[in-house]
Amino acid sequence: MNQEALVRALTEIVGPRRILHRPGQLAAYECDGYVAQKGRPRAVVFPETTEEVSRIVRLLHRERIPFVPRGAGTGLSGGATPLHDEVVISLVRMNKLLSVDYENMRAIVQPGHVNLTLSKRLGPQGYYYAPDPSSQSVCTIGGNLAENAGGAHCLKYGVTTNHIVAAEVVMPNGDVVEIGAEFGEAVGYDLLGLIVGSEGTLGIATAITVRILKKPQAVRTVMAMFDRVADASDTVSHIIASGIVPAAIEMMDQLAMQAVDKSNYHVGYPRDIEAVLLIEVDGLEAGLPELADRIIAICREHRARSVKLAESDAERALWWSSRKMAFGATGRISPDYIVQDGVIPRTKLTEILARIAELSEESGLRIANVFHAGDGNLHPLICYDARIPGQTEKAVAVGSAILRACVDVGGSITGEHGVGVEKLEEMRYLFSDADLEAQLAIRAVFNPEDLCNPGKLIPRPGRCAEVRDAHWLAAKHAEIAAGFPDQTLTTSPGAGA
Amino acid sequence: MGDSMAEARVISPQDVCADVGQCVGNAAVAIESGWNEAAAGIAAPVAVARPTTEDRVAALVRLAAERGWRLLPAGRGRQLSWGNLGQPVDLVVSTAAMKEVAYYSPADLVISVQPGMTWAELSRVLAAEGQMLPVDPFVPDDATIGGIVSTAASGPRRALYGALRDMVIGLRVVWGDGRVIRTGGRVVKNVAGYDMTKLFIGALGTLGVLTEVTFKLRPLPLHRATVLLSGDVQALRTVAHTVMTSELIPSRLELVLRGDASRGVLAIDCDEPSGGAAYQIQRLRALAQEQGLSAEVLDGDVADNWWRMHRASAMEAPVCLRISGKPTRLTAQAAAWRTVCAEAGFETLWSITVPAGMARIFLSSTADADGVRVRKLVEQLRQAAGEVGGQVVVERAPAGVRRGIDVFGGLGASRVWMEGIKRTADPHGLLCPGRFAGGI
Amino acid sequence: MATKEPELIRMGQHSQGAFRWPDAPDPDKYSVCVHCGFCLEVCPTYQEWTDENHSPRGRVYLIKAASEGELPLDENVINPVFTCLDCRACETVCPSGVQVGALIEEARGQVYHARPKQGVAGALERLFLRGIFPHPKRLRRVAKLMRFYQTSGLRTAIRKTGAIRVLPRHLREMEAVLPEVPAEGAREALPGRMPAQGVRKGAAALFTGCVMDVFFADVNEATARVLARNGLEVRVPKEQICCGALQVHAGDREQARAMAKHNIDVFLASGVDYIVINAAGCGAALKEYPELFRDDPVWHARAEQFSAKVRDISELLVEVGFDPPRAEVRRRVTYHDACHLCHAQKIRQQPRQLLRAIPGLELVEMPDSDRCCGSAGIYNLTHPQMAGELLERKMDDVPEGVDAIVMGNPGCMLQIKVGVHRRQRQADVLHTVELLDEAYRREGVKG
Repeated sequence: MNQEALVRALTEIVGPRRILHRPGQLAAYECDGYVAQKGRPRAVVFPETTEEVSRIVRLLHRERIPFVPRGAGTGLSGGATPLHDEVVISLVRMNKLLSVDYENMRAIVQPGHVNLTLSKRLGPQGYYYAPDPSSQSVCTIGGNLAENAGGAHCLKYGVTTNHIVAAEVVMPNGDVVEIGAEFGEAVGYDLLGLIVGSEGTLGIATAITVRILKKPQAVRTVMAMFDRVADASDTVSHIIASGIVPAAIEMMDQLAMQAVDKSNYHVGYPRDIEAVLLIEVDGLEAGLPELADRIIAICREHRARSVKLAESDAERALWWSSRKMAFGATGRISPDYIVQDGVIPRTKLTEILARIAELSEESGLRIANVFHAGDGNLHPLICYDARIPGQTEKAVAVGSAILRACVDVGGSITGEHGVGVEKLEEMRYLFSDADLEAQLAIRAVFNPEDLCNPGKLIPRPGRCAEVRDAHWLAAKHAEIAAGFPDQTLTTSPGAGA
Repeated sequence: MGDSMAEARVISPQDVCADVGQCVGNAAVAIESGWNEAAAGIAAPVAVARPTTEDRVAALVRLAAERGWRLLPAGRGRQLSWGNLGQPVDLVVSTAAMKEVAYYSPADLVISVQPGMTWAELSRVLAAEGQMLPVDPFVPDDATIGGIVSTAASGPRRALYGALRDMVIGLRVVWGDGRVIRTGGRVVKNVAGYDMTKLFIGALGTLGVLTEVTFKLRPLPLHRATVLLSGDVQALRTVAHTVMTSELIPSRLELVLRGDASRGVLAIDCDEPSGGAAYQIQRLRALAQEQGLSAEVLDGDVADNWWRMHRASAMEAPVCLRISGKPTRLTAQAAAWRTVCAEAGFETLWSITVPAGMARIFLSSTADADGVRVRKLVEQLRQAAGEVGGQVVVERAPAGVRRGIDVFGGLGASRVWMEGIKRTADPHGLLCPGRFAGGI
Repeated sequence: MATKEPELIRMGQHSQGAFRWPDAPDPDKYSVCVHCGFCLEVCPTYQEWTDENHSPRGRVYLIKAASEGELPLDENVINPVFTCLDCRACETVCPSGVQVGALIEEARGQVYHARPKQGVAGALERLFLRGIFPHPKRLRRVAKLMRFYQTSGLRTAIRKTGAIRVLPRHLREMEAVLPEVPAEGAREALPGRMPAQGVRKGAAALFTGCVMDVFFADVNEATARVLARNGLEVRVPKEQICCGALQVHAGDREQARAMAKHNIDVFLASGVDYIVINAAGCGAALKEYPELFRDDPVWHARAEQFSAKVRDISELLVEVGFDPPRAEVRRRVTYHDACHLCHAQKIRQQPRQLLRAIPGLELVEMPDSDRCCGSAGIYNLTHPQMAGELLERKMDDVPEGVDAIVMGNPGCMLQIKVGVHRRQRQADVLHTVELLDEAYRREGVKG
């Protein structure tokens, strides 16, 4: 099917106003929040109903034309980036809140519904939707489903997969299937669990049933500043060990503090502290003072320079905005940056930070650190300047080395940003060829020709990697070899055991 | 096709036993009765292997694949009454002998255990570190972790803590062709690759033999209390829904009913710190008074003991049916459904996990060896519940009862995808065929 | 194809790019964008059309692509650049601090050179932007013509005969709500110098603006009274001209620069401490004069000197301290955040502080008070459909039971007057300073 025929066929489905196909209109869809790799799509369509999505997918499947589902395009691993001349299926016009059942605590949304919009709509009745990725003011719940998005508060409340109970899904062949169960156990294999986090490679959710929660009666937020990172890390472990389950524990290092203090959310962090912790507990008002006191005491035991309880909602909101703006604010201290998303057992925090500091020194690139410390999810922000030849490659190599170090201490290469195209090669650090083959085999059940978001999430096993990927990898490894002669490709000092 | 092949098969347990003995040692294999009886409803002694390592499990599965033996992955056989009656198997691979802790980092709230460890043992190991796996399924204490994960068993704690699918973060599994697969990992947040872990939870062993399970844990609550409200069922229902949508944080919210009496008990747990617990108890007392209910507060061990007794009496019943649906509808319809049960001549114990929208009906022993009456009741309930969007599953029942019905009530349009998954994980169709939903 | 030289890009020489004229979009401005997308949900045009080409990050991406020669400067770039309302809501949420507004204006400057507008529309635009607005006397003559139309009976006749129907709906509605043009503007009516009352806090020159002074001269007069009442000596430089914001928005930066130079000369010569403005759009433009002189160090320095003195009226009153009025104004009002006040100048609290200081006045917040009303300079004339949709949303958000909608920008005042007219609502559309002035004036009555 040539471009003209394709455009005609798609226009028949969505009408002339909901399709972009002229080359100049497609540039804006070349990438998502991950900009290191780009590709221009064949066309962009904006369906408004499940039926339209199904007809589009059926058409593309029949014609063997690859496609990429896309929400707000805020993903940080290139999951919505068209690299194979795909048709982008944008779901942003399917943004309705279809129904809310407050009594039974469920809501049904279309995939383009914005995460925070849902909580805002539920707010007046005292409810909210718990997963809160930093991009929650723009990211869509469909995108959250695809990425199994996390957020600051998933320490206590869990990630997206724990909050989506059912979905209507357009499968890669265009069939519409209801999966999951609004209540209780769904009968059969847990297809929903598999599809959540599948980065749009197993189908397109067109209606999503989520759990909604009652807003906690009360919240206490503590900010503690530490002279030494190690003290902050120990504080986190101590709090967890004491039997408290905070709603969130977030950490930022000095460079991250400097970045956010330059944003519109200025807190005014001292320049000579190494780490700041933001610790939040929520629940019944009557139970919180004892928890907050205990947390403050633990911070002090670990030599916190200052510990402060948020005195107002405004102060709490400022602290959180400051934290949530951290990625973007890095743009204020560096022309370019790569945000990584490693996970480690939280007890390895001090160790991994030392390793990151080493990598920073060796490479000469500054690295700011922001983490969900409570669940060991690190976001090192590697600062570089793409205009200086070789720096991009070096930054990519450092990112990869950090992920390697995370895996070496028993962690993972991504906690919430997904693999996308960014971390395909790093998947090999984590999984054996047999594991990867098993995952590809599962994909083949749903998406045998790899037309639905092709090439994402799972690298091809062994040496079958595509030429383009191989080239990318070669550049990366050349840099590693040049920059860090003896460390990166072998196990890091703290690994093993 | 399967059936005609079954007729043609001549695989003697003795032959299997001999081959298996060569593979894993004679001490680790025996011929036993009871397994096929419980899982397939057919009296056929079978070779039971109890390998001690993952390598040996994999070797056994490969051997079975070579020989075309049907396999039943199992533990101590405590939950063979779950699922459909499958085809009789030629070899039981029991991981009951694999019962070690593989990895435990209390400070990370993560544990990996081998599947043969019992639930009671796991609870003890965790309690020693002040931690817990917040599930309280209706299974015997000596049921294994492998069995609990394979049946996705759950209980009242689901109200706050969610289901096993929310707690299992990684697995090691031997697929039907003998390859060993690792899914997930040992960190609480992880989105690398497909979340294949979830496929195996509740798969009844039809996709592979589990060899290791990794859980994320919770600290034991700083304070434990259970409030028991007793009285009129309608009043209890009102309180249950009020609590569910209030600021209160019940970690269990279980409506317990017996027979078709108009009275019942609402058991509400609080795992909040003592200040919060005191507030919650006070609010519940006030609600009880408003609704004319009596209130009793149990603390710590006394509370635990009440739940243990409740589980024990539920476990005495040979049959458990489970209805899922909107909580408001479940509690509204419970009275009518209880009448249906009573009219069918069954004595019942109801345990409704209100926030999860799950009602378990425990049918006490009646002389119904061929299961005709239970099956008729299931049919009636499916019709009645179906009208209000509810779904009825036979959670567990003796083999005789499960004969001739799909205990899950069948699969819908997603069946084709599930068959695909089955074919992928078990290409030769040897892992207890027929036991899963839709006869998969 | 030649290889790209990073050095050249940094120096702003885009030999192969689509921006070939001076004053091109600054690479340092677009390279700050990390493509995070946080701007999408606050962008009115993206919210309406859901096409990323018409979103802030899309526009920045297109500007970058055109600048680097990846895209030609054709409709696919030009349309998105011109559908931007310049409301700056994106700048408020942007974590990286991308100056989207400045980039858009610079890009429009390139379009102005590359694609001079043809036909009647182009001629009309040139007539207004180059022929009338920069010249106070000509502007005044147009205003007088309008006053003649409104007061001579011509308006009544045209309405009666139905001749008005030749205008499109939005212009008809605009015509219907246009306030009566006063015989003379405040620039002419006010004395050149008004003494401060009480303790003197400095001297402030009033920037009277063009739309404000044609349609809302009384707001300018109220502003002068309120300033004097609060210890500021008020000057009204007679030689001042339009600020040039409309020219910047349209891409006519050359004309805008000429106007800016004139105003900088006039106001710096007056030797005042502050330059006060009550129109948010003009205020933002005056504060951004240095942007116009990026390549001219001498004028850049003068522009900086000028901009440092510019204050919105609400900003200045809170900064120097104001007397809380003693008389009551019993009204229930809501406040609309003009984009160029809240997003471009970050002024949100000051107007509310003034309103809350008025005894008897109840301020009811409207949801999304900082979402654009669709006025956006001349946007409601160039893109009536989008402007109309935004106005509908704005009017939906006006709380029930308020008797006035208050704001700090004449463009918004005209637009929201259309909204009130359309919905048949009983509510006045007022400038913040008008209410404060009323409260002060009532003090006298009571005393």
